[in-house]
Amino acid sequence: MNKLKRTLALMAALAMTATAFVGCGDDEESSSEAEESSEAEESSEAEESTDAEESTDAEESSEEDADADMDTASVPTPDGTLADDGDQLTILCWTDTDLNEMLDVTSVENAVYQNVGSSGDEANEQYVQYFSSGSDVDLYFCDADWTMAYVNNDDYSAPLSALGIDESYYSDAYSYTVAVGTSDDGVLKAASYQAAGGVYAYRADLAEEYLGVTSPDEMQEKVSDWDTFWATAAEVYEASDGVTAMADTIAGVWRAYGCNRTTPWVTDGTFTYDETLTDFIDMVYENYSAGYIANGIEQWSNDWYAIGFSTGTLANKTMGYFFPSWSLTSTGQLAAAEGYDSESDTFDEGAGTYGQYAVTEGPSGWYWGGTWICVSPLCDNATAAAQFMYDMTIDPDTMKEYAVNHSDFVNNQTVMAEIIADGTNSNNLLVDSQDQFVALSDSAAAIDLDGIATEYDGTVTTALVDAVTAYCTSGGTAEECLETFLDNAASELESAGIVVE
Amino acid sequence: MASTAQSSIKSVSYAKYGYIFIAPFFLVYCFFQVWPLINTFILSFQGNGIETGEWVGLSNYSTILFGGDSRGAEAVSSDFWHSLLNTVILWVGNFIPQITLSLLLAVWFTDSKLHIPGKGFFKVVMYLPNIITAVSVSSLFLCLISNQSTSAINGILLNSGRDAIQFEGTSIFSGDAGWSRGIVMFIQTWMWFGNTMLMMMSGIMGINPSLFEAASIDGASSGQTLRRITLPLLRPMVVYTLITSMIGGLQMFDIPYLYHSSASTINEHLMTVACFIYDKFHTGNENTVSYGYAGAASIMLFIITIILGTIVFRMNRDEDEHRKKKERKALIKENKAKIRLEKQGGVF
Amino acid sequence: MENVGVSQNYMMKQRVKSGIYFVICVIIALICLVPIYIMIMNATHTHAELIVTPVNWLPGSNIVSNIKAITTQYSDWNIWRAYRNSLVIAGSCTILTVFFSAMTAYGLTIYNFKIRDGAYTLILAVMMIPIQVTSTGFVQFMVGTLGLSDSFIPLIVPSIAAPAVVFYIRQYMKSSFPLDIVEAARIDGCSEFRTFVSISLPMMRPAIAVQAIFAFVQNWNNYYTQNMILLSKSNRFTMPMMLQKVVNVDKNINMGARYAAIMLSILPVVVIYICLSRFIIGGVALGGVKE
Repeated sequence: MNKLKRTLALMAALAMTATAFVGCGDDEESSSEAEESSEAEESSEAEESTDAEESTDAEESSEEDADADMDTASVPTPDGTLADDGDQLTILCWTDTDLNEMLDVTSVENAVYQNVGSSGDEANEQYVQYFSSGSDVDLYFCDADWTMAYVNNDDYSAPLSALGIDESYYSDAYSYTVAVGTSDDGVLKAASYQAAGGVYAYRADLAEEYLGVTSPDEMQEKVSDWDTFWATAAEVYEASDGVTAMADTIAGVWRAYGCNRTTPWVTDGTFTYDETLTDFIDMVYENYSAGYIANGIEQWSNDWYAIGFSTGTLANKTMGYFFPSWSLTSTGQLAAAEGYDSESDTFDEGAGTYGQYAVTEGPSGWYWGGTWICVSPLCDNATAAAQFMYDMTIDPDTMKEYAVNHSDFVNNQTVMAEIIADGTNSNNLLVDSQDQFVALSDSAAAIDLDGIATEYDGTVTTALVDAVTAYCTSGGTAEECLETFLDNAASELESAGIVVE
Repeated sequence: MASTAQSSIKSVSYAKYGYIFIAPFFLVYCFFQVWPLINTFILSFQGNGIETGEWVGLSNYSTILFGGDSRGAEAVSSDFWHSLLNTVILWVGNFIPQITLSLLLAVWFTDSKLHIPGKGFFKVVMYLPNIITAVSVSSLFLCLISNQSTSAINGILLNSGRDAIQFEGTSIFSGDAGWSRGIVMFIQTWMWFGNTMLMMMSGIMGINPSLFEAASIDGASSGQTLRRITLPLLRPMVVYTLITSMIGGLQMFDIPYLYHSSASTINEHLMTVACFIYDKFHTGNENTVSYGYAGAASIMLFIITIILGTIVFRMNRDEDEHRKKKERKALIKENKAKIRLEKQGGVF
Repeated sequence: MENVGVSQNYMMKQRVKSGIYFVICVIIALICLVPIYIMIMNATHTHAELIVTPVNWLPGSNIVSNIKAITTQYSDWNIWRAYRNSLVIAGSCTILTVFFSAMTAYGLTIYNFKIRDGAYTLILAVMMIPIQVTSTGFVQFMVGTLGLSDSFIPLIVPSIAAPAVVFYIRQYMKSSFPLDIVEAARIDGCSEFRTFVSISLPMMRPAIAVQAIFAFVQNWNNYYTQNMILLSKSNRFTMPMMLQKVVNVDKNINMGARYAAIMLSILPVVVIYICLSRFIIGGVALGGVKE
């Protein structure tokens, strides 16, 4: 009985604590959110009122400037359809590393970000739930694979014109980013801060050892088109006694190869595909079986990075990766493949590949992802939102600062050309601190998404990679693989009312 | 019980308190359980994705059960049947070892002739896995055994110069479904056999000890005692475990849903009905959320649950009926079944 | 003499049998413990050590640095917040479950009213309905209609209605609750509700304690419902959800940190279990946790 008493006492104590927490739950929530935002920001809030007055003056004058001369883009002024009485600019994202860098360069002082999900896929699934929870949201980030789903839905996104932004601001931007950010009925609703062209990042040390290649230009000749690429793969495979594959994953090859598509996945509610798909299936099967694509590796898994090391049980399993611009930043996937430890901000000596990679354009110009910024109709900080959009997607100065600080390829052709000309960008992840922007700008210039991008691209890509992986690992025929892919896609797209033949 | 006279007096003056005392339960139950159930039912007759909220009659049911003209409908249907098959395979594969192991251990632990030291300790240890969060269990096993070279078993294999094993399988067409299913079955057994064992033990201890004494005096071997006394008398308990385990098996979600090492998709071999339902309704994006299919699959699950429950109860009841008179009316039968359910509950 | 021989022989046989069974039990117990033991040992080693020796039988010295390193895997990792959220949910659920279940069971036992038997039968019937069946409608209603996403309300309030607990407590009251005491309280002029709270509730302690422990563990371990409701805001994540995020992160792989995170997630439950194992073991068969 004594024990029972004690048990009861324990339960009661737990109960009390719990109720105590419930009681102050909401207050704590807001206070913990406040904690997350920096202290500097709190102090800035005090000054905010004065700032606001000043900036209104500034905006008024700048508006006149804009009217007078459209070429010098100035900070846009919201048209008043969105509320402007919120106290902080809340940005939803899943890429907190990017956001940290952005908050450093933007002049918006009371901005905070909120990670929603730990990957783009999760963010896509969870945004709507976040919107419906009634929490503060002003801007949110969208991935190329599904931006259009949000752009085409007026419940989720407001037109950029509400912030005073129109197409004329984006004359320097890569045109595909404007195309993706424009809804089906021609309204500009999202803007991208990056142009996510892709490159082939390869191990310079292995290239020299197996191929005798010493510069990215020489390497480019070895991978200039897909036939040459696989021929080189055979050479590497031979030279390494069957250890080293040329490509990292099936999904990576698809990202690079799939950009050759000329047909969008969905046309007028019907699923469509062209011979790029069937060619891809045959090509991948042949090369996977031959060991030219690293076997048993999936993107975004632990082993994906481990094959990029020169030590460990999966050492030298791949010659290189198909990486987009955002993978080459200091916190990106390339860093992970070189054993970067973000806690101590050092590179694991054990991984052995720090600074061993080099980049080259690869077999074809391609892109992977890219992040668009959308404005929520619930936005209550229109001025700050407009300022943030201006800083990150329009203003050459801040964009340049961000690009140089973060090694990210921003969506402004003039800025990128300047940086390349200046030669200020040196990426320590690459051999001789190579400037990856040169290769990336060729890649980005080649991106043509006119009529190709749909909001279903992410779903379809997953379905395709699953089907092709199954085909490569467990056999069957190319026809069966195509059928499996169509079934996978059909099952996913059924609810969206897409007909798959 | 107080005397009948007393309670009847009470009933006159205090009946309204009865309603007041049970009101919160039923209010909350209606709001959070009954209405969602009805809502599920309603949703199962409405469309998916962009058609959410539009009445579509029985088409969700016909799609998930029989497919349809389009490839999409066929695919949804085959996914559903596949998930049902997975559920059955995973349930059978974890129930058989689980019940065998539990029964065996329960018999040993309750056998007065055997002297196994440290019984209390064993019971505590064997129940331990059941108390741990399923997410932790699946994460732990993913660290120990998964496709990745960082998992313990593949790490050992690779370090000793052998090839890594694709424990998770990749697709239904690959031959290595056995690994992922086997691992999930093992985890489920690992988690639940302690629980079943304790239930069995209390069942055995509920059997009149004089029966065992009599058997012992008559010189019955322990095998005979087990077959002739323990098992027959334990049958209600086994049946009860079977029901709860079956219903539990239909809901199997956490471990199959979480056992995959790359962040992307649920393992195809482990897609149970609960995972199928979850997968259909949890997507936030209104273009792809499929409340209709999820609702229809839920109702199918509900019907299967009812059928299973009824079948097992009837099996149990009919046996008893044979011993007694068969001419009773159906109504009385049902009442009896209820009372028996109550009594069974009282035993454990 | 012959009889003694037989009985000695018999004793020997039983002893050998016991020995064999003991060994089997030890093996099974080891299977239960070894994964957990390896997890604890591995949590004390660095990632580099774990790559070389994936399974460690002896402790290392890096437990603290591993715990610190969890944040590099998942930057929103905040173990106290996760513990707190789990504690708020599990604690509130426990209180609501046992209090209202006791109240319902009390109402069903003490009072005699028209729908009493019907109500009880209903409770028995709904005990079997799995949550998965209602979850589609539940999510659509809570998140879609009421906009309660990322709220604790849909996770806490439903625990007022716990049919299995009502069933168990009623069973307990039937067998060992003295109804006369209610009568006596009435004569003393005690109101019905007060009688319940200050006289009857304490008398139901044994049943309530067991059910409270199970309710707590069950709600602490709940992942399915939490994962439907608390998706989008990391400051609302409970322990299971937080752990799931850590394990899903693909960059900065640190197996030591991962083992440490798993260890931290199970620590509170295991401590409670060890302290209360007698009640838990005794309570399982009384209809505690079921799957």
